[in-house]
Amino acid sequence: MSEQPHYCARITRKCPSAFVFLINLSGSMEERVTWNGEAVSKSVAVSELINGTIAELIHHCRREEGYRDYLDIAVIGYGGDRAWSLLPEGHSHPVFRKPDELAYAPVETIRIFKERQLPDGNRAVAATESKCWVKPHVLGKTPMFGALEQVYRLLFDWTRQHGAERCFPPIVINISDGEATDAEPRELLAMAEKIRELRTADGNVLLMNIFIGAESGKPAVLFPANESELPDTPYARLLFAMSSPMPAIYRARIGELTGNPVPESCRGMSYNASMTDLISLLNIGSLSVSFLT
Amino acid sequence: MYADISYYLEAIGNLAGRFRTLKSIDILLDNRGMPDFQSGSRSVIFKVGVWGGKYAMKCYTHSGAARKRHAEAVADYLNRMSFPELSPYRYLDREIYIYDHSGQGAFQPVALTPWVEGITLRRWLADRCGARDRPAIRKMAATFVDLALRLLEQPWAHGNLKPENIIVSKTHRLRLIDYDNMYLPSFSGLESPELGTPGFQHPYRTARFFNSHLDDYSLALIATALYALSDFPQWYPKRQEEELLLFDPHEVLAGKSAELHAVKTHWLESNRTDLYRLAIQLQQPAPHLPELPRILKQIRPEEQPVRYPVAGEVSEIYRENGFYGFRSGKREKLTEAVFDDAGGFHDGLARVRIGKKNYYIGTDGKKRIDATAFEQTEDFSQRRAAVRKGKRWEFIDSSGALVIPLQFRSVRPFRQNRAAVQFRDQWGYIDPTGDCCIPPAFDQAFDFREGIAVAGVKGKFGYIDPAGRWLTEPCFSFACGFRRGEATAEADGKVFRIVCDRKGLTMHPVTV
Repeated sequence: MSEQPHYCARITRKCPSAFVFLINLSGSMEERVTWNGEAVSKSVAVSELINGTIAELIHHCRREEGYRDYLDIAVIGYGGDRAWSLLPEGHSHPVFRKPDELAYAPVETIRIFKERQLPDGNRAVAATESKCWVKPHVLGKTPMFGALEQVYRLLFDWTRQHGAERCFPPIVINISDGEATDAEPRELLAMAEKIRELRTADGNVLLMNIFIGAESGKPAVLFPANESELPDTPYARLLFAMSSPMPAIYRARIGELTGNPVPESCRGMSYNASMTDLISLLNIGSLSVSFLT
Repeated sequence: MYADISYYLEAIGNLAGRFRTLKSIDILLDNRGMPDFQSGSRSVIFKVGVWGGKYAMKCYTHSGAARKRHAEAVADYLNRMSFPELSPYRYLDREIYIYDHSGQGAFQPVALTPWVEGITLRRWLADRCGARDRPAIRKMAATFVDLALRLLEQPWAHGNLKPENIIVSKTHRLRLIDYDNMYLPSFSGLESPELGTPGFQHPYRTARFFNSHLDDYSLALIATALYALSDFPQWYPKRQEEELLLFDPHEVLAGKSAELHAVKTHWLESNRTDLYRLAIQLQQPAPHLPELPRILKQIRPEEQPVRYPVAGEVSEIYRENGFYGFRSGKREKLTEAVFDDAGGFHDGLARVRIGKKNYYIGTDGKKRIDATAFEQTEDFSQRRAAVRKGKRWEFIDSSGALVIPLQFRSVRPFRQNRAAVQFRDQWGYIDPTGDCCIPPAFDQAFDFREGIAVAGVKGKFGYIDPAGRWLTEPCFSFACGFRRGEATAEADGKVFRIVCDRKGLTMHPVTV
């Protein structure tokens, strides 16, 4: 009997999937970047992007009767000497939130304005409303190991509950602009490997590591296939080793983003990504919603 | 092309300049004051107001050239054929302008179908099973099988039948939505662009299995589930979280479906061999189920087509002593001449009047519908008859139930699933379920024949298609309906022969 292909399970309420966003909240996240035409801190920009990604995930879960529990969503911030959930209080789980919990959470809503050039040549300002589940924080150091350890425990329980089923494997997206300050590289690598060894019947947990660069004009490296594509820094190579190879369903979209053929060895990793790159990376990272029933 | 739902939400929240042709579109809101929308696996559907009615506007999160070709073919086909449970469909390529995250803008297509009021079969079942309403579920199963029998006769197929794509109206009529997986005869030999929702498809359905039998398995599964739930409504919660309806096709094929085993045993023990045979269909090794029509007819024998009069049977109205009666072609009387007025038999029913009282009788001469509440009745056509109370017209079905309660100033009979109706001063068209398929825009409107109708505006006439699009400019002072692909019309004192062929309508001057 042939082995069933992986990373193709339909997402249902019985076989949900999970998204875990890890966000670095160290002091360097206060550095300014240009975002939507404004100078804001990286923390503000990343929060807005994560909120937009969560909104998109929730939209995909909306059906006739309301929001279906297709996904478990977690956002963990790490800064200072700890890691903690950045999402509003829920009632079903200490860290994960269901789509309807988030959709109906009493959080602040902000209006975002974007200038658009209409097809008739006129210019207009488009206003959209965005819910702020995740607020920007800045807290000193980068306890990435502690955060990864918390993710491991979270997903260990999750895969124990869902692992026997053909659930689309969880994806972890770790966003940082700095190196970990609470562990040696070999410890980080070992923890990343432990996370990636967790699995469901449809495949292993995917770990993406996104290193946000400053606006120094250095080119971004997106989804490298081997270390030679990276800058010659140990941390870049560490992140490469920590990151999952990307399955086939992701590689087609990655190819559209990079404009290059994508080999099987490409990793879910980026180095020196800009905020615009981060949007694309989050889009690709949330690709599995196309498997919603 | 991949588009986030948020791109479309931005567009509909900032309408100015965003639609190429839909200039007066309203976004309808839910009870929280937010845009009313639902997501699908590759689309998002908004409830909108346009063309004087409510529509479902489907926007695509995944699309490409293949989808465009499919959608345009489906739109063309649906608007030329008639099937009551399908809605008119308009595919507007390059219609809505959205921006991606980098600020790059582009037009994307939308598909519009009239909004079908009702709830999905999924929700209906949740409600009725929760209430343990076995009679209602049994009746719904019968209604579904009637639909299935008609679907199995068609040269096309829906391609993704599931409870979420079946809408139940308040009068328990069924309507099918979501035509992205349809098979049409013109697709013969091609591969299917989609494979339907797995929980309702045969495990061995592949892209190559793309033909008019595409719905066989889905119909068998849903019918079996409905009859099972009519016996065991408490089973409804089973498998719901897997987006199934009682049965997992993979488990069924592997002989491991506990639910199917239980219901087969129950039906055998209760001598429902017809339902037992239906259940076995789910275990067939291939997605084409050639026995299914015969099995379904055994379940619904009372729904065999009404035996309409044929040559030698009731076919004549005769007059005697100033009154009307009915007799066969061989002049054998079916009824005495007792009626003050009578119409011919249509759909097995004939309108009659005794004094001021209106009725419909069947081909056996017996009263079938008491229409005494109405002042005027018309003949049946496509199972609908127009009836008048006061100054307003409505439609009843062949059981006498009021099915299109909207009240019109004037109406014409249904022809080819369209009836011209007058709303206030203008004419439009409705379909047999009462949905407005061509919004009121004409000063005059006539019956569809051969897929084309004559309509008039400002004293001039032209020809329209079932979607209401002009096939010719309304330039004629006089226009006849089509017969065998041709019609006659007059403009500026000249007579033209209008011919309908593959290229459309062409005008040929007639030399008198």
